[in-house]
Amino acid sequence: MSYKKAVLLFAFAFILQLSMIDLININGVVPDLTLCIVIMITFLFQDGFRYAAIGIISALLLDLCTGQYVGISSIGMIIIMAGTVLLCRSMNRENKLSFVIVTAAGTFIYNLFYWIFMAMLNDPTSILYVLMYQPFYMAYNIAFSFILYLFMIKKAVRHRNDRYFV
Amino acid sequence: MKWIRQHKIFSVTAGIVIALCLFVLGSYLAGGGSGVLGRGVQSVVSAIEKPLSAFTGGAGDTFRGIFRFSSVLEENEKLKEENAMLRQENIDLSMKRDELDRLGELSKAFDFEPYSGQGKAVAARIISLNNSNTYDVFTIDAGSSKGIEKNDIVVDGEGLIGKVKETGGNWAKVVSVLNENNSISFKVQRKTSITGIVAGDGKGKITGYLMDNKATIVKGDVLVTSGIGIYPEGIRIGKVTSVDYNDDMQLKEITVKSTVKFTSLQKVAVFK
Repeated sequence: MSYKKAVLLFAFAFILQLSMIDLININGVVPDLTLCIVIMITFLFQDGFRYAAIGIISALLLDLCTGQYVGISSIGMIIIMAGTVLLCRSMNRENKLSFVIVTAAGTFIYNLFYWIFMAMLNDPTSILYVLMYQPFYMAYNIAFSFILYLFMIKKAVRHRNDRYFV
Repeated sequence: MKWIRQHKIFSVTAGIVIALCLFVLGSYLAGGGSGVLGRGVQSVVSAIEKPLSAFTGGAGDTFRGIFRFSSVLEENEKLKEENAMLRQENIDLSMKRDELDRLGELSKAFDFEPYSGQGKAVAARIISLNNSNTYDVFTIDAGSSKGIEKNDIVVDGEGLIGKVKETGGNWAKVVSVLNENNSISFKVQRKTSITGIVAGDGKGKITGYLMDNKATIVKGDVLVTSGIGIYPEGIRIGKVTSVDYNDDMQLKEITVKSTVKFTSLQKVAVFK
């Protein structure tokens, strides 16, 4: 992974998120492409958080374009990046199931964080409503992340803490 | 300083988080707008979004057409029935038109000038949706260059969608009726003396209360804008789905389902 590729990937996701994502909209639920890429890069690549940091800018721009308040998504991305780095230390990165678990947990924590922050800013959306949609968000994000994973796993190099690292 | 140098990544991250928190706070204090920077970004992005959104709309319709052929046939039958009913309704309405004209003359006599609908209308396409609550706030591809201003009314054929919150050259942000901060004064179409206030509940529905607790409102009643506030009189808001009396607040509360199908919303009209 290089910064150039990461910028291109996030820019592509940014444009898709704002325009064509509605094509796969099911009852208002769409995958969060930026979040998926942030998790995938942080999970797959050694020091991936350095490249995933571009996702913070991407999330900030998304907030500027469509969000009610600017910056919440970016803070959420930082939390997810930190969480993914911590989780990766105790998980086998070669296992696809680990990736699915990290994506599901990441989606849930991100949306929970978003709700908490919005609640602090007097948003009346109930937690039950947020939780009700979580399985759909998780399923969508896992599906999208997994497609990305299959493409990007070929580009990933062995991590120093992987099994059989040489 | 030494500690910061030793914990470079942590320090940079903490700095970014603090800066972002200040962004959120600033945005909150500004009433939820994205500011000058946001308008600049939005102008650039909307230029790219516009053709892609147009393509998405077309491609989406094609996909839906392929996979929902049976439901389209069913819908077609329903539409035929509805069409026949509307024809009949049209005949009834034209009979009532003469009566309405006479009442219009009468209203002039009392120096009452109802909303004339002479305002300029601009058609626009939805180009992006909010991340959190999808149809709470969304962006359309027409802005101040077409004369759209803050608080202009956004509608479609089904009824009231919301109002313009913010505008740029070729885009505008719309706050829908589903937004909890968008309060609307209403009256019941069946009996216009029954009035109240509704706003979004943050869960895709609209809730509100009646001004008069003794007023009789029932499930299925159609609510229209009362003309108080920025919304002109007579725009359909939605249908009442439940009526409850709140003992604590001593208010008759209602839940309303918007007449607008937000999940399939693509084009809107903006009225000045």
